[in-house]
Amino acid sequence: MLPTDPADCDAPASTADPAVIAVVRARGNARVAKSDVCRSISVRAGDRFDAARTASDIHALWDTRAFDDVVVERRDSGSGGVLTYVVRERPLLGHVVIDGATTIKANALRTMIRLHEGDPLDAADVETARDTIRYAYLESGYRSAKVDFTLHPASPTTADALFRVDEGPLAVIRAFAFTGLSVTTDKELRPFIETRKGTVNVPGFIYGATAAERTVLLVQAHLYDRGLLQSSVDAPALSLSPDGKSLTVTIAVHEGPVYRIGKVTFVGALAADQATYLRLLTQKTGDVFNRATLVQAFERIQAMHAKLGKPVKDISPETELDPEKKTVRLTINLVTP
Amino acid sequence: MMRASFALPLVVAILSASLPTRAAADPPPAEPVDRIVAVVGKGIILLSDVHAREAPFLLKLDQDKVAPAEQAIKRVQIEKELLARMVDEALEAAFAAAGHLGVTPEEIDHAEAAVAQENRLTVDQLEDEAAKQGMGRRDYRAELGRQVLEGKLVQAEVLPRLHRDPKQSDADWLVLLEKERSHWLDELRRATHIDVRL
Repeated sequence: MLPTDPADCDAPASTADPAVIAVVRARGNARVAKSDVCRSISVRAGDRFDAARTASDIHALWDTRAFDDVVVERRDSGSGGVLTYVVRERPLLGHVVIDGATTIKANALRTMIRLHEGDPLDAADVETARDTIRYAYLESGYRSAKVDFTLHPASPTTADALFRVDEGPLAVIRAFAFTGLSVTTDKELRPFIETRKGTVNVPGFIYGATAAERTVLLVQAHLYDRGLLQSSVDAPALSLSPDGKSLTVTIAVHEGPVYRIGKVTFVGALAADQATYLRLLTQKTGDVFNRATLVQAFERIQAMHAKLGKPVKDISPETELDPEKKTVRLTINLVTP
Repeated sequence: MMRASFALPLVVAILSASLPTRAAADPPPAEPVDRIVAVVGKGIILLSDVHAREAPFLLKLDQDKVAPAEQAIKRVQIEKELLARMVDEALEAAFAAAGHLGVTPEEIDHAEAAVAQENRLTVDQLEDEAAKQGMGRRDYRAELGRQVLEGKLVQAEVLPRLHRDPKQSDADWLVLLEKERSHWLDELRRATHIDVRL
């Protein structure tokens, strides 16, 4: 029988079998009580060694967020196996200092980053905090802002986090352009630029990433209404001037060919003849495909069905492109509830 | 004959005397069983996870009759490369989970059936082949699951970033796709806390 050790999680079991764990021990903890470490360990004295359980215990210890390293060691004592979980405690977060922030107040940044003094220090959280600060500056138009951090031991068990912000200059938009246009024009697409009432994405103002992403979606939708069914719109490309004060935003558009409507067939729960549906469609074979017009036609078809007492649950169009003829064949399926 | 029977214990005794002896009270050294070898964001990868994935590579070393000393060197290299791959997989899995993107067992069934058909095998034969290469059924299906997820992520995250020139050859397109996938992974790596400890 093994002598007891202060690191033992529970009383040693009596065994001579090295495959049986005679005792489980926790080492490396100082701030965290041994009983708290042992609570996360599922292996008990008298259990047979099981690598899967040991792995699961490491995950359980990690998930407590109290430790930033765990090593499990095993030795044969001659009176059974000794399984030792060696933990390394995370330091606690001392002070959070943000230097160099003037445009955005340090207190406002501190609220955004959600690092709490006294919590176990998680390097991933500190990196996320750094990215959050940088993102806040980007959103405020400081495109060349730099943020880094260092961790300073403040006591044997605590560390301070120091963020250093270099705001750089405010970058305003010099130009917001579309490239690759041949079917559509710049004048046609410009109204789709989301500007949040003229406060972003216009010359003289800052770049708004979310608004620009929405612009891409709106432009793409418009291209579909112009028969450009194989078109794509790239994410906005930003080019900052060397002094960091002005910005050019370019959205590349790949239009592809213009598609016209080919044969149209209505299938499913029909309540009228094909000609009636085609009249409601308003678009006819040979017209340039227009997604928005199609959606409006579906609303008219649904209204007609409702009036006839035969409501449709869904109208699902299937499109088949003919790249040679540049036509799109439409099969419109009416689904009843 | 009698002399020979004396000789062996004597040799053992001499050899034993020449070996450094441990004091009777010293416990035998503890051996590491498992440990954290990488931190990826909020998650961890264990040494046992790496070992679980290296079986096919070790089997290959055996089959290639690589000398034991060289095997040890190659194993270190294999583990490092495998871990780098597992870190990327963990990044992808976390990204996919955040976007509620996953892989169902049925999708893995389909993928397995497709691979089997491509190789003119039944699914059972395919799994037998995988087993011969050191990959059990569960491991093989897990690997397929990772590949299916990677395909979904390429569809959702990488393809929308590219525009294919109709004149571009398939080979050029695949090179471009892989390059963009690599950029996307770099962005994920930069945005995530990664600490490799192997």
